[in-house]
Amino acid sequence: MIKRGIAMSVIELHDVKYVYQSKYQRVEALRGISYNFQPGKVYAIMGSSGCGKTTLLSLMAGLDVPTEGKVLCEGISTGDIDLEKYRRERVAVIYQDFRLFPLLTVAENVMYPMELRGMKAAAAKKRAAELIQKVGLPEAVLDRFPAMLSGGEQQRVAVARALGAQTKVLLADEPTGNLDSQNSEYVFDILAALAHEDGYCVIIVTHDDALGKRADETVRMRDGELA
Amino acid sequence: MFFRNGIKSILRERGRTVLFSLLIMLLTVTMILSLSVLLYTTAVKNACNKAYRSIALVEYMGSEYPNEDEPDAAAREAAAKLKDEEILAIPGVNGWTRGSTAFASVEGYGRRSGVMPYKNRSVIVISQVSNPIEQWVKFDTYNQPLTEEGSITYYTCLLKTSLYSREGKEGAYIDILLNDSGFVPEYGKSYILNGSFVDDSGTTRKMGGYPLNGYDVFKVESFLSGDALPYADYTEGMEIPEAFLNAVEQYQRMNNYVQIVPCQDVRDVYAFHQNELRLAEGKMPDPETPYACVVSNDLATQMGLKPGDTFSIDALRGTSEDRYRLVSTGERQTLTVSGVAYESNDFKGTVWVVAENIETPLFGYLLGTVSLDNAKAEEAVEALRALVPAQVRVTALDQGYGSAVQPFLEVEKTAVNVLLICAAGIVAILLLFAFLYVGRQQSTVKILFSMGTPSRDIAAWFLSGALVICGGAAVLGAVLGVLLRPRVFRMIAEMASRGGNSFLWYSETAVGVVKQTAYDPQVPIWPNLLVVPVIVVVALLLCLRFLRMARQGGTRKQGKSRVRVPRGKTTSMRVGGLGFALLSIRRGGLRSLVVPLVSFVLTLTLLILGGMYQGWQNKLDDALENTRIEGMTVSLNGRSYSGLVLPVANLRKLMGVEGVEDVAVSYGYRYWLTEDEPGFTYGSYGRAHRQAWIDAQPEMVALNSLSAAKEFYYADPEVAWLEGWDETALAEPDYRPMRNRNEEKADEKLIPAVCSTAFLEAHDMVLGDTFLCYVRVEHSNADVREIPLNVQAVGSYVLQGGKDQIYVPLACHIPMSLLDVNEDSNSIIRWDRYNFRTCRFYLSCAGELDTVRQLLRDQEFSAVGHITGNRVTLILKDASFLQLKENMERNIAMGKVLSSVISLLVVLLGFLISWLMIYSRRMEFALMRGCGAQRRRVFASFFLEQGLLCLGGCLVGCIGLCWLYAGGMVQFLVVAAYLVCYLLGATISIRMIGRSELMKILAVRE
Repeated sequence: MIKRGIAMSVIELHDVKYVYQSKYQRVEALRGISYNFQPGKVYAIMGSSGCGKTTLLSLMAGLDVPTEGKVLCEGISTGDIDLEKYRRERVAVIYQDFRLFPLLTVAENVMYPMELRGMKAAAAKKRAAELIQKVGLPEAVLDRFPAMLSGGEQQRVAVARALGAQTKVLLADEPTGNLDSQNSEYVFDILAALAHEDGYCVIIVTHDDALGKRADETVRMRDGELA
Repeated sequence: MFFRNGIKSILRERGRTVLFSLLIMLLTVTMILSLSVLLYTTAVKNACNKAYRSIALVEYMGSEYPNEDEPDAAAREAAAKLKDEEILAIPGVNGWTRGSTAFASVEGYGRRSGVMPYKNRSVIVISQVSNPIEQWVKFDTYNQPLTEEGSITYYTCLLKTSLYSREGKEGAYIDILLNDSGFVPEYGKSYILNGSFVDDSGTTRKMGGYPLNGYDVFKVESFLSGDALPYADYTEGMEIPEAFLNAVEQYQRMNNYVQIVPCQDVRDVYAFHQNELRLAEGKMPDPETPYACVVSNDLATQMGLKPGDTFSIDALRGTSEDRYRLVSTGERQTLTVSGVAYESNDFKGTVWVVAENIETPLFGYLLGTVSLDNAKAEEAVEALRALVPAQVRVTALDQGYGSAVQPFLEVEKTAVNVLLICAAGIVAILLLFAFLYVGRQQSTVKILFSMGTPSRDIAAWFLSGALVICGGAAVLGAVLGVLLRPRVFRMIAEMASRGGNSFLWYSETAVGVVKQTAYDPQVPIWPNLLVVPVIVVVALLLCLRFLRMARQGGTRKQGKSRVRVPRGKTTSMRVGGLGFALLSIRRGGLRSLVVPLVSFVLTLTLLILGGMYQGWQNKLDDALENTRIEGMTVSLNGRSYSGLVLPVANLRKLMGVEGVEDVAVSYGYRYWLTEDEPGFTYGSYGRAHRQAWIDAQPEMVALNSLSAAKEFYYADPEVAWLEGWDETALAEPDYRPMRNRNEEKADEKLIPAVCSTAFLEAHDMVLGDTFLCYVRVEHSNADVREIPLNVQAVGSYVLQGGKDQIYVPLACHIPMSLLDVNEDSNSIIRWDRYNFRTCRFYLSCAGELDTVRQLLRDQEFSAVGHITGNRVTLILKDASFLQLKENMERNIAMGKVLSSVISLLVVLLGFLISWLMIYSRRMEFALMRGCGAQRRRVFASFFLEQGLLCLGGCLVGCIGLCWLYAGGMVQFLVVAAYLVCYLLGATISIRMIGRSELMKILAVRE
């Protein structure tokens, strides 16, 4: 068992194993990963296709629970907490294809996690405006629909929505995968700033070596294990 | 290798392969069976076409209905209006034979019975003539009544020789009447005379006490042709003068005629068609062989004719007034005997020969016979009815073809529908098969292609599997289908035999004798087996097509895709289910329109279909409940009222049948007014002549409703009633029957009568006037009375033609209590010899038609297939009702099938649409869940959205069609089922998405 990074962890992985069991095969996607993610840092999880990066991200995002081992967020195991509440209050996820609600305006998209947490609409709207500005978008986009924005803008809206969840952990699955280099830089800068200035723990799953190099720490994976 | 790998690849997908094999096999079996049924029904129809013959009798039905040998001007006028080319031009008419018959003489044939109008004509040699004997009588001459009294002179003599008629009576005494011949015999001399014997077989002598000596009476009469004197002196040994010999020859010819019935096909002759006559030997002549014939049994016996023999006829021609006054035309024709008919008294000395119409004057009522194409008979008869002049009736006789074939037509339609559905189904299955087994194997195709595998080997890889699965399943299906064929055929035959014939008892659509046919045609197997190669070829072609697509697939289309931008501004959104659902609906654009629109259209379809179905059902129910079917007694030769005899007992049986109501009957008595009667001489001639005159008088018809009157059978003349009177008077019971009336004195009580306006005008009367008239009442042959009646004209009608019938209450014929079926049947014994000439009735409700038919059968009324000697039967005029019922039932059956299928499809479609609508939005679902939204909230959002959209569409459809929809709740229930299925589809879809791994959905690159 490999165990690295110890102090002030926001997310702790304790011997996390995950097995995909189907009728025809049994795949050990994660084979006992232990790692601690600390706030204020940008982590880049890298590795070849099929090494288990996205599976690991989904476990940290509370979309699933490990077959064995534990994923602890602020000391609480995902196995012991209501995953819906976990997703609402502990983590926020940014996806490669932005994953904005197509029928909601930018403001409504950003307000969505806030309202899920019970925030009043007016306060949520005000906060959404702040977050949009924070990610470098003009207030004018608030009433626009995602389809009216460019890819870079949509990803920044996705970042803003993640921030609206008011969590300490930002998980990003290939956040720059669909962006050009300039927008990629911009988005990464935002995420880095959020980590370094606001103390978020930003965990990015990426293939992009350049992005990996800019991360505070790079976690490399191979065949379901940390390399 | 490629074959092996291809087959293995398919077989290893075990579940799918078994499913497709079963589907293909099942559809193949169904196709083979439906195709077999189609071939079977076609074969049965062909067999029926050969077995049955449809004809139509075209008969003159005027009020002066002529007897068979009667020259009737009106009938001839009607016949002249019928144009051969117009009749033959009617679609469905195969042939047209006029009713005129011809005569011929056949050497060696002597007629012994049947119509022999000149059998009393004779040439005789007499001797020992007496002195003239005078008898004082109030007399008439033979042809014309005289009002004066006078004397009649006759002679008695010895019949020495009879050259024709009364052979064997030589040596007997006879009386001679000279008439106006100019012959004055001398006492004791011998003469040769031409004339006729007075027929002693009739009633004249019995009735009147013949005025002469009681011997045979011979009247000296002129020759029928030539001006020579009909008498000459005779001395022993002298030769008979030529004029007398010619006369004898003429009498022989006229009495020994052979009736020639020309026809295009002998099977169309009514007697053969209706089994009155059958062949004893030989076969029916081929219609393509001119002068092939069927001869009557007596002719064949006398002439020693057998099938295959030939014989000659010499054509004879009568006059337009007397068809039997025959002279030779000098034409000679040789006929070939094809068949010999069974012995029949009605058809002595008859030859039915394949020949063109013969131009002879019409006698009787039969204007002609139309040969019809079985399948088009109904339409052809309708067209024919529209073509013929008024008072000409067309009676269709199809030997039961319609009812025999009808079940098979229904089966045929079903088979065609099933075949089409199966064909569509098999194409869909093969399409799916090709798509799944070939179209979706892009990767395998590309690997094979990239490895340089030749195209034909790639094709072999994929087609071999298709060949094995589709071919194998199709062959198995074919074997199973062929094994099941006989059972299916038996089922259809049983169903047809159950449904055929019986249900048309007493129906006018099945008038006449019906045939029974065994349905066992040989149906070839090989056309069914063609299904197998067709399935395999289609499967291979589709696989090839998908193979090509698989090779070309994977290349994305160039160009930007257009992104739809919703409308609206940021709102204070509610993340609750309903709020999100409403927002999605509002901003969903076209997507939000699709579901309600589809729901609306489907609801509309269901309701319209249901409305149509219900409309048909309502129409049928209405027809069953409100249609009154008329019934009547008729004779199957087309006479609706002439000479029918319906005894009182039978009438009571008919009235006892539940469902039969408004029975109207009539019986006529000859009537006359004293002022109209000419003077007649006393004695037998006078009496006979007076009888003849009375026979020619119109009738006083006793009836309980005018619907039983002749004039009201084919028309409905308006009746003007004297104030205070109406038709109910005819059913009043308080009148004495004729047989109970006094011959000497008329009852004082006036009999109300409906007379023609012509009658009233001719006698200078108006409504309300009274008059004295006489009717003849025949208690028996020996007891004929003339009853005086005091009659009051209370109604008048405009005469449509014919004689001035007078209509009086039925109580004048029989006591009305006899029509009360609850009355003791013993009370009718005194009246059981009484009968009715016409009878019409109604069925209270068409819905009870079959029940009434069965009851009538139980009462043993003569009917189709069981025709009694006088060929009188009951006919229910149900053709139009049956046609309506058949159409409605067909529509309803189709509506039921369509409703069921479409309802099922709609319900499935609802499920499918909801599934697709939710599934296409699984990303939103996953995202909401990924953001931490509660499962029930996400479920509610999607469920409510889809539910509201679907409900909206359904509601608009229902409300929109409420005013149009006439039926019950079934269609609304189906709409509800659609809604439920839609929501069920949505629920299952949401739950399935919920169970899938969210990250997998969220990580998918679009």
